[in-house]
Amino acid sequence: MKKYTLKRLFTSLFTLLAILLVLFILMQLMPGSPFNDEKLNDDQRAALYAKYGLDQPVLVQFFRYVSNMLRGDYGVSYNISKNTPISQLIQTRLPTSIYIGGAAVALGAVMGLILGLIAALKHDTFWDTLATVISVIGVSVPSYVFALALSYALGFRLQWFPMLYNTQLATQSSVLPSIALSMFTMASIARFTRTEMLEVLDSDYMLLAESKGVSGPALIFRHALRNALIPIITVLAPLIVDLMTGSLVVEKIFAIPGVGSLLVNAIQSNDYNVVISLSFIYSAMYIGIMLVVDILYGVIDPRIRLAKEGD
Amino acid sequence: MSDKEKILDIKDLDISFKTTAGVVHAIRGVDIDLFTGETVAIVGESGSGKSVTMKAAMGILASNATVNRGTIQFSYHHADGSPATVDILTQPKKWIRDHINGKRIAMVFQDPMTSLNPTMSIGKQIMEGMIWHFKTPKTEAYAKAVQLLREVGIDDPEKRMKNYPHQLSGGMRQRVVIAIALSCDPDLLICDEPTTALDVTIQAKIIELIRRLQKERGISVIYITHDLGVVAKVADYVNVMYAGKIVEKGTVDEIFYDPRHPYTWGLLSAMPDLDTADERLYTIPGSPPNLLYEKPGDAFSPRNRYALVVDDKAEPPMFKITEDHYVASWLLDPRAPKVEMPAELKARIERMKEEAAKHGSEL
Repeated sequence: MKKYTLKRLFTSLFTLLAILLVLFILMQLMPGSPFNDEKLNDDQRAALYAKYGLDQPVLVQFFRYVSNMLRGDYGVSYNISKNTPISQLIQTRLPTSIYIGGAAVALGAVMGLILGLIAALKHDTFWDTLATVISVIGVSVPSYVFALALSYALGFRLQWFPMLYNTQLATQSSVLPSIALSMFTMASIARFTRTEMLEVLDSDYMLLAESKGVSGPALIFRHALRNALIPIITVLAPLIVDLMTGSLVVEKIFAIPGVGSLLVNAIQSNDYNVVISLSFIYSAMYIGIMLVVDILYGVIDPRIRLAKEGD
Repeated sequence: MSDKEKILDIKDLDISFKTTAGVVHAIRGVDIDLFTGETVAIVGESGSGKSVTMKAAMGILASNATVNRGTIQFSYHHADGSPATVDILTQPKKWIRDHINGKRIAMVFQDPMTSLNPTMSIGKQIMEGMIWHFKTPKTEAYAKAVQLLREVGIDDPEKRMKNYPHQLSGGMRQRVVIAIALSCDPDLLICDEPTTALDVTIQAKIIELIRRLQKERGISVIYITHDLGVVAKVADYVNVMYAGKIVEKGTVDEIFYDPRHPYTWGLLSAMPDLDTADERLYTIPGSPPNLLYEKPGDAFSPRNRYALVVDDKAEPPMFKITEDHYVASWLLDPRAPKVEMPAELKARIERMKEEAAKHGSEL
């Protein structure tokens, strides 16, 4: 397992470098420039390019960026917030997005599991139908509709939670956006849990466990859920990254200073370093979470663990 | 015969299943008796209701099953030795799980590739029942599990305890399933086609193992099988089942040497053997009836070349031949024309008898 993890970490590093290179090339191919103030003439623009080293060949820029990055320097913003280091720019925004996204994932996964379990255990009853209806609504209704509804009902009418994000009241402010974002995760997890649990409950080994006399929670959790979890984790992983990296629409509705809106602004204004570093952080998170998921598989499923030990 | 103790007494069991296509009347009045220490085989084609009958006795019927009639009386002894008899069908599920399943009746399933939990070690799966039913301390349960693995013929049991099902071969897995079944010292072992999914060479070993364990532990065994070869080796009594009914029952000698029901004739004729002159293996014409649609009279009559007119009008009762031998066929009625079993089968039975006499064994 240790050897496998090391191997994975090593390949992850190369993947990240490759992603960075592709990002650099894509930035070069993008039309326009970060300095598109109409008052700038060509000479001034050339001077700005030279100042930031943008007149150099892509590969030179790339290697310089990587070496700066290793020293913790992600470059500066050209446009959104002139000459502010990126690290400073995302310093407060990234944790906000991760916090809200993390809460949404946790809420969605737990609620989804509970809902799916109820649906599977009470198969073909009122509870199953109810859980299915909730899942269908959760999957098909976009998160901004939930966001607007929650903001109106719990924010405007009942005034339980702030309607707009308030940095002084970070926890209370995160409740509504987290719930709105969690709906899709909850619905997807509920649907998968239901399907997987039904399949597992129908299996021969569940019959054997029952014929041993095992019943109640031990039967559900020790025998059934563990086997059902393996495919559930597979769908959960990409959802985690999706939510952690912030949702533009929900951020707009609740006026959250997160990274979702920052990235969109940066792309529109050709703010190279912001786009590159944010995309890089997303990729790193994605790869990191996938690595954790792969290790989790091994913890849950001995077939995978033992195969990896053989590596 | 009356001095023997009855352990399981199934009377007039009638079960149907609700399916999307309609109600399937799978079990239509089954009677089965089993005495302590003996072996009963239930023989029949797929879908004849062999497994369903035994699942009812374990309280593990699928949720769409309904028991319409009948009783399943199971007799056991409490820890202090006092006897008790319960009708399993009237007990709540929880009671069956706590008092019957694993503890007094254990089951070995057909396919060892799917009947073990893939995410739980072998050791844990064997120890689970003991800890669940008797709160056995872990170290004690571990020692007993190792002992069980040794008993079912697994080498290096300490190492195997840590293994997971996928690391074991099919035959080994079935041995583990048997070890799990024996872990709480049950009185009755139900083997649901225990060798069907295994290699022929392994089949004989597993049968031998179950027989040995039965002798050593004095437990009663029910075999569900469609393999008459297995039946001949293990059973004391045989119940031949067709379309949810017992059509012939008797001692193993009576069924093999003096079969009376045309369906039993068919089954015996369809057994492959080396001496038959025929190039082709005999098969019973047609296929088992669809139990969604019930037909009046004897369910076997469309496939029975000796069928009488009455077969399509009324169900045959059980005709008594000897104390143990019963047959549900109108051919046994005194008014019926005299019908002999096929000559080919008769010759085969003669050969089997000679063979048995030569080797001095029962069969």
